[in-house]
Amino acid sequence: MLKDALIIMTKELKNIFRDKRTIFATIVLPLVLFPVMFGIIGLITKANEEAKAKAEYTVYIESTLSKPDELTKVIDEIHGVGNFEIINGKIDEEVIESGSTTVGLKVGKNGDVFIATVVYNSMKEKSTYAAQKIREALMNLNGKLVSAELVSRGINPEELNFVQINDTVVGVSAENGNVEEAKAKGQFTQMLAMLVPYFLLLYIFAGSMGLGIDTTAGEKERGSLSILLVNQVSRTSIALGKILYLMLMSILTSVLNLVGLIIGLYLQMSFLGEGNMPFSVELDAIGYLLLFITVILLALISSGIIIFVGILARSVKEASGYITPIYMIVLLFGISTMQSEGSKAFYYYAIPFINVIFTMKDIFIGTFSVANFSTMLIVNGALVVLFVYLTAKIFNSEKVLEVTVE
Amino acid sequence: MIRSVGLTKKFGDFIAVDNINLNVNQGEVFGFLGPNGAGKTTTIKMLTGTLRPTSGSIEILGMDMKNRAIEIKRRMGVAPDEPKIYEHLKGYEFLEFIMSIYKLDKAETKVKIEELCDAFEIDYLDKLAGEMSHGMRQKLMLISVLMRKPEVLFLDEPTVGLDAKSAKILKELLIKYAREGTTVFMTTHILEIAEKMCDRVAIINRGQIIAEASVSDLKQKYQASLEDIFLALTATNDIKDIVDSL
Ligand SMILES: Nc1ncnc2c1ncn2[C@@H]1O[C@H](COP(=O)(O)OP(=O)(O)OP(=O)(O)O)[C@@H](O)[C@H]1O
Ligand SMILES: [Mg+2]
Repeated sequence: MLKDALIIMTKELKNIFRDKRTIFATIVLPLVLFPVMFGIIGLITKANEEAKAKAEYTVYIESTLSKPDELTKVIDEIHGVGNFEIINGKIDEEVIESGSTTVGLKVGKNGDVFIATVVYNSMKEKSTYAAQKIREALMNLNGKLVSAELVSRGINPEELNFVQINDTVVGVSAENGNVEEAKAKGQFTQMLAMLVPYFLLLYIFAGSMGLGIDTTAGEKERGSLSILLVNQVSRTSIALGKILYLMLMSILTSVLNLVGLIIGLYLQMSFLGEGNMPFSVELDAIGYLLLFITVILLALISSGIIIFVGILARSVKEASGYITPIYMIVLLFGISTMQSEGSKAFYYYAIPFINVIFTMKDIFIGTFSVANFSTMLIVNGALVVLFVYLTAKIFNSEKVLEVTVE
Repeated sequence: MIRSVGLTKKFGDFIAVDNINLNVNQGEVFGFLGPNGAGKTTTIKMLTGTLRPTSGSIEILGMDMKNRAIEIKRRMGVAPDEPKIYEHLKGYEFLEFIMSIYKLDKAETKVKIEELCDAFEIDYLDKLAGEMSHGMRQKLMLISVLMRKPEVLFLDEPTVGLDAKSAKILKELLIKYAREGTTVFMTTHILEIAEKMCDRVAIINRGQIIAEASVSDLKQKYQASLEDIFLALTATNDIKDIVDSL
């Protein structure tokens, strides 16, 4: 029986890989789409950041400072943080609102303390950026004034730290104790934990959907299913062969999508970061194995459902009609859990699809628990067996297969 | 060899095949004749195990279709009315697929395939099925069945789409196989073929068998050609009247 199923599977694979569109959609697209998509996002963001840093800004300064050298100090600091043209005078809020690179600064003094108000248009990216830079300049001024004051009182500012804070980032290891690198790795991992389960869910289901409908309802529609029926293969073998074929294809799709996605994310972050983004996911061999098992279960359960529904339908159109609502639900599961962290209550791991998402998050973040993973494994495994059984059963029922669309 | 008792198929309320009893002996060429929509294809689909009868029983090679379908299918060959072959498979890949299903001896079958390809002038086995003409696919389907040398053959309008030479070869080949012991069950609309090839025929009309006899008996009984007998039995109006009225 299994041997016949394998023959059927091989035939299906041969048949599908002749189709150039399928090869493109299942192999080329995921490997190219994600890197290109995330790469472009990264490049655009980077170009944007650079444009903001390079742009020339106008700052209107309305000063009530009595000593001219105090204003000079402020202006010097502003020149130190960016490309600012200074215009002294009363601030016209409308001018700041209408200009895209304009910002205002009201500055006065109350005793020894500088009182500053930054006026900017929060709807304009560059105005917001300029305001940020002005704040930075004022903080620099603050730092210098504090130091000067301390020195004048005979205190070395360096000695003034009673608390010294060093970061040790756990969960991710940094080479040579490089904390910044470890932080970056942590960010990357968080991003993976958020996006990878979501995209995999989407792509595995959507990818299997097309192929699964084609090999069931599509074959029914084209009539080629009858070749299998008149020949010496049991219907259970046919069902099994088709399920195996779809499972293999969706695993292939999922692995390729995963690779494409990780390359894409890496590209994006390396465009945005300072150049040396750590391209490493903090997973050991067991972590990868667990991830692989989880992804395979996702592929199996998706193909099981799709083949089952596909064979119930009389035509491709009908099958799409049945499967689209299921897809919507799966999509909703993905979106609603995207922001959540891993390690949820036990019953989350008893709900198909949701359990896969949380297991993946757990694996990435390191909140993995054997009990939760086992629940996911058992629930999904049982469902896969159930769908294979139901599909085989339905293949043996004449009602479903004899429908010929003429 | 082929036996059916009370074979009936309903599609909803519509009775496509109505209580058919058939008896085809080993080595016989049996013609199953009838007008369009009479129920021929439906009957063949039931006899070959693709369609489950509403009622009645089927016995092929002495085995009941209900519980020994796989065993029957192993020894039976079916060429359906439409040669629907996976369009992305090449000709030889389709043949290899059939070979692997039946676990045929590769070398032996290759020889057989070569003979058949020569006979039917098939030189396009490396073409994709989706790119073949109807007749080319029909011939591919036929050799995929004949290469197995099945003991019972079901052919639904096998000559449709074949050129004159291929049709002639097929006819001769079927007669030869029958002489060697193969049982042939075929439908056709070409009564000349039925008259020349078939040992016995059954005529089905609106799901019911209205005549079953050896060709010679029929001709003797009605003193007419098979075509005239067929028309007399199945036609409701006189053909001349119909043509005149048009
Ligand atoms: N799947 C089906 N559902 C409903 N009715 C069907 C189905 N298949 C066949 N029929 C009906 O059963 C009757 C017999 O059809 P069948 O295909 O057996 O005719 P046939 O004798 O092979 O005709 P032809 O000579 O045109 O091939 C027709 O009236 C047809 O409409
Ligand atoms: Mg027919």
